Amino acid sequence: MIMSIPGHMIGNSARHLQVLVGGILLAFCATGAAAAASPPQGGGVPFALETAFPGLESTPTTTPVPRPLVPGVPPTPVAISPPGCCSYPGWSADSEWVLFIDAPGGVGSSGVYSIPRGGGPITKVTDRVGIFSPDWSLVAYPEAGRIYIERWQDGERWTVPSAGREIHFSPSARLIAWEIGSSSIQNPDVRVSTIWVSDLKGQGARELVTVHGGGLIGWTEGEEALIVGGRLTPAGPAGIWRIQVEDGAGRLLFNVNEPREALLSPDGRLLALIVAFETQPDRNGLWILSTNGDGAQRLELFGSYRWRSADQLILIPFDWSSSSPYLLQYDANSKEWWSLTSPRYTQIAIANNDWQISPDGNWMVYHSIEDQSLNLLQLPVVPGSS
Amino acid sequence: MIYSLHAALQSSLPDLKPQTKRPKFSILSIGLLCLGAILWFGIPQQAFADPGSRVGERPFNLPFDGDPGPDNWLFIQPYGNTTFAYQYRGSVYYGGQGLHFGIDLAAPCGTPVLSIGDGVVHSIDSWHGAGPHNLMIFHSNGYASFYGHLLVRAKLKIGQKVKAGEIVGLSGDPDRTCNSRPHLHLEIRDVETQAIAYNPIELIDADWDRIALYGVTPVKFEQDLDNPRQWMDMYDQPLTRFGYGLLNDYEHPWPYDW
Repeated sequence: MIMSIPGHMIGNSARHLQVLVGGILLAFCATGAAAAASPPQGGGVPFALETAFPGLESTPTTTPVPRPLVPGVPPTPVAISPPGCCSYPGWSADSEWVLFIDAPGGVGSSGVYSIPRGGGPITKVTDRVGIFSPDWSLVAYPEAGRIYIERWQDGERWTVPSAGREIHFSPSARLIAWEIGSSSIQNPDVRVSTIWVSDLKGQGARELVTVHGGGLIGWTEGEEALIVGGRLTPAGPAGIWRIQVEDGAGRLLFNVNEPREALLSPDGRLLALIVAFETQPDRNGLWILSTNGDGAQRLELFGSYRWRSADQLILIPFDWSSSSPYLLQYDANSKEWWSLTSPRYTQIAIANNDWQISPDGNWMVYHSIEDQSLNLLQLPVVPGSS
Repeated sequence: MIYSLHAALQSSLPDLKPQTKRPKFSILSIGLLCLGAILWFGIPQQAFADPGSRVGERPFNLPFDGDPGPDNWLFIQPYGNTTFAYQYRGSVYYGGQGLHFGIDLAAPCGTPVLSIGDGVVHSIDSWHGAGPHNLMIFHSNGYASFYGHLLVRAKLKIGQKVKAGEIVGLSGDPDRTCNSRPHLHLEIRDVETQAIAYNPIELIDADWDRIALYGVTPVKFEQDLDNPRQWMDMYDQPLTRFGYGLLNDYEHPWPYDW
């Protein structure tokens, strides 16, 4: 392992190092699952619409109009990086650092760099680039056709039998999963992949389920199940499935031919996804469903979204009448909407749909249209929220 | 626009400007030449100007009617050094230097496709690929628009004039199922050689940053870990020169070739 520890980190605990190094590539880690649920280059359009799965309770939301603006001083974005750098930023687990891949001046060998949330110099964290575990203590990367998992604390590393494929850490990093299948560009609807699980060391690897026209989305709360999109048999129903890790048993949570942009909440209890181009228009839009099968709700707004907490979703709506993008917050429990920002007071110009919410839910970092710098925005707190 | 396509053109394509001096011919030879050109190309080449002179004006319109959304259409892949094109750089996108040399807009099969500008139909179902059906329209500003994955053969004639916003086809699915990945693949090339592809979002008048703001996936580009800031923005992408070598066969890529 090649690793360079910034001076301000020397003397801190290994845990602190884990926290610092972990955040990078959050966008890719988070969105890899989304990509797995959506076919590349194209996205599908379900022409032969299947009806909603029996038993699914679809609860259209009632949205207050206008949505109340959170009281207080409107937040103002602050640039925290030089122009032109730092695509796909992520967050450290303690929300203190913004991390990204870069090289000094943009030239030369890259590594993981960090900027203090409160401002300060850019510091190199590590040369290692890879997929980080949710607790930020492990990183997975390929080398000579094999996948290695490396522990930051002691540098121990080992291989796992994932056939060189990307792995998905479970929330506790006790288990890993991976997907093996066709990567042909042709018709993603008929691609077949198998999803495997093992323990962190790669022991006990077993094939859990075969998926047609879909793939792995992520882990549920408690690591009891995986969430996958697609069909479990070639001609079976398509949708979002809960697959029990113990025995591979599948339960259809949501019947949809083409789930898009699926994103699990931080605790894995909820899943946000997009349904598009169905022949029944009331099916189209942004949905939130329970991963334990308790139901689903379709939001009446559509746009770009990230989870702020276990129940709160931040949405930048498709609103072509507004002068600038703005932030809304939706609470999946109370079904309440709030406006976190107003285009009248807060101008947000996000490039490449590249934005992330800090793990503590208090901050947003985004890639600015204006000069390609990273900008930071403190998110207002909705009255009554903890 | 943060990055200037004009600058890119000036620096990279000095040898691709249209001819400005024309040889002297007799009336008969000119007539025969024109006839030959019409038969061969479908439209006279001298009718078109230098694309570089139009850069920055964003002369074209969107190819679909109405705002994007889950009922209508969605911008699913930009032009350039996308992670998807990188994944298939050795096959599908090899001829295009490893780049996605157009944009992809998902839409239900049968969605009317509009001409992005005034022009003349140059080819229908040509060798340019992007089946099952395709269409190319020449525009007087020196650009050619190419519409791929159309549902049925365009009901137009070679040489037919079309207006901006006119329906010229129906969006389809490359897999011919309308279930797997129905979308319009839209390219903008140069009229003269049709061997250069430009970034359509530089030339189509729309708020692409807002259009890209949906879902959870950032607009993803393959990162060269030895040059990590190169081509990481959807406006900062190289021209495609078909038939030339790969631009992104990186030794240290991110994401990896998992």
